[in-house]
Amino acid sequence: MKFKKLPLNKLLLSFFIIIAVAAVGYLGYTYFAGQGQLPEPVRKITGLPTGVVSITPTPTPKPTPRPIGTGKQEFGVSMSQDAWPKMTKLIIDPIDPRLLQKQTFSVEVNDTKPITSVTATVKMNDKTKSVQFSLVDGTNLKGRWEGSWMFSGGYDEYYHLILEGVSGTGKSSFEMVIR
Amino acid sequence: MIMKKIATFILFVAGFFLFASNADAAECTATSTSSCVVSTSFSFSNTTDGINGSITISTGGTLTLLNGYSVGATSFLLTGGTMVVATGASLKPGTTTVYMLDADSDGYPASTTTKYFESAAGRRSVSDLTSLSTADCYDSSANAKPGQTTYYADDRGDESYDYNCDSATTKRRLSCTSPVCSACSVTCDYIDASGEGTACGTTGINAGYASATRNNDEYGNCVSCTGSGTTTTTMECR
Repeated sequence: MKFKKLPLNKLLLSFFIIIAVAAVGYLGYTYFAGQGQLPEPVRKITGLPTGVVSITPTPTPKPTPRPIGTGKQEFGVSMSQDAWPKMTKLIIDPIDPRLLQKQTFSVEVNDTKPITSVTATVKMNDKTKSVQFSLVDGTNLKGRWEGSWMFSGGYDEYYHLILEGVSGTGKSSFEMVIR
Repeated sequence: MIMKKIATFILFVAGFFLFASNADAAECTATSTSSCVVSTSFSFSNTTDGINGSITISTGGTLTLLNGYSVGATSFLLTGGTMVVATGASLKPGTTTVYMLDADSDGYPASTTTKYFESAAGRRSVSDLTSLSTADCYDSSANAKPGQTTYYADDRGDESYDYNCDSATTKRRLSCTSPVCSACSVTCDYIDASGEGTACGTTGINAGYASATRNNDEYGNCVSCTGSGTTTTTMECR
């Protein structure tokens, strides 16, 4: 088999026709594949800074925590007539502890039947701690109960104290909002 | 039969009083202004605080007062809960009115954290205020207050035009590029001109006029409206 030699101009014409058909085919394919959208031209973005760009989020300002006092704080407690055992005088020392500082709660409790336990539950921002009290003065009918713990936790947003007393009469409790 | 009707009536009356009393007893909150009930755990937010009415501490409720805090109310009623009052705190029963500073009487206090038990110039009863929790941004003009929708051509008194307290200045001006002949006068639309460099209160801005015409009568009424030419406007802000 012998190939006939084509003239150069016909060769070039054939080459351009092939390129043109390929280009039209490619554009048609991308047009229909893109549901009527012609391909996006490449955009060159200029004027951007080079190097590492760090984005700093805008901090949301926290409201100032409300003042709660400092150091040892004493409270008079008035409970309803039918609440037993009755807690009367409460001392929180200190009310504003630092991390790992010893915090002591002391409360005077009385009842007509023996008091069996007194407990404090400290609820903070993201932590809750229960503290058992023991009788340190007086009797289990009328005495002062005390409990301590090494403070840990944040209390700038949430700081509640629940005191609960249990006796032969029943159970009484209250929840203080400190913050 | 008659006994059944009487029993139904008694139940109805009892139910009415039960629900009516509950309806009166709103839970105490930081924004309470009248009689309220503490049935959970509550403590007032401000060092001087209170309400115009009584505070009832009911079963399960605890009202706490920390050292340095004063709370005023007409009365404090302990009906079943607990009151915990620090040495150095003060309960002020007999307080009939709690006040806040609102010198321009626009219903928004100058500060949301400062209350008073005594009347004085510029102070208003908390129950007369629109909000206890949103402060005024300028307490010397009743037109400047949170949520103000009106625009003004004059500054509020301190060279600021932030009348709605959003810490920004929003501009608008009349535009007569598409005027309408309404109620026999040329009516133009306001456009948001916040992006324009023209200062608030500036008058003489060309508002345009691409005619409006109308004129009428011979029973089509109106008579005149015209427009065309040019007109000026003022940059208003809030």
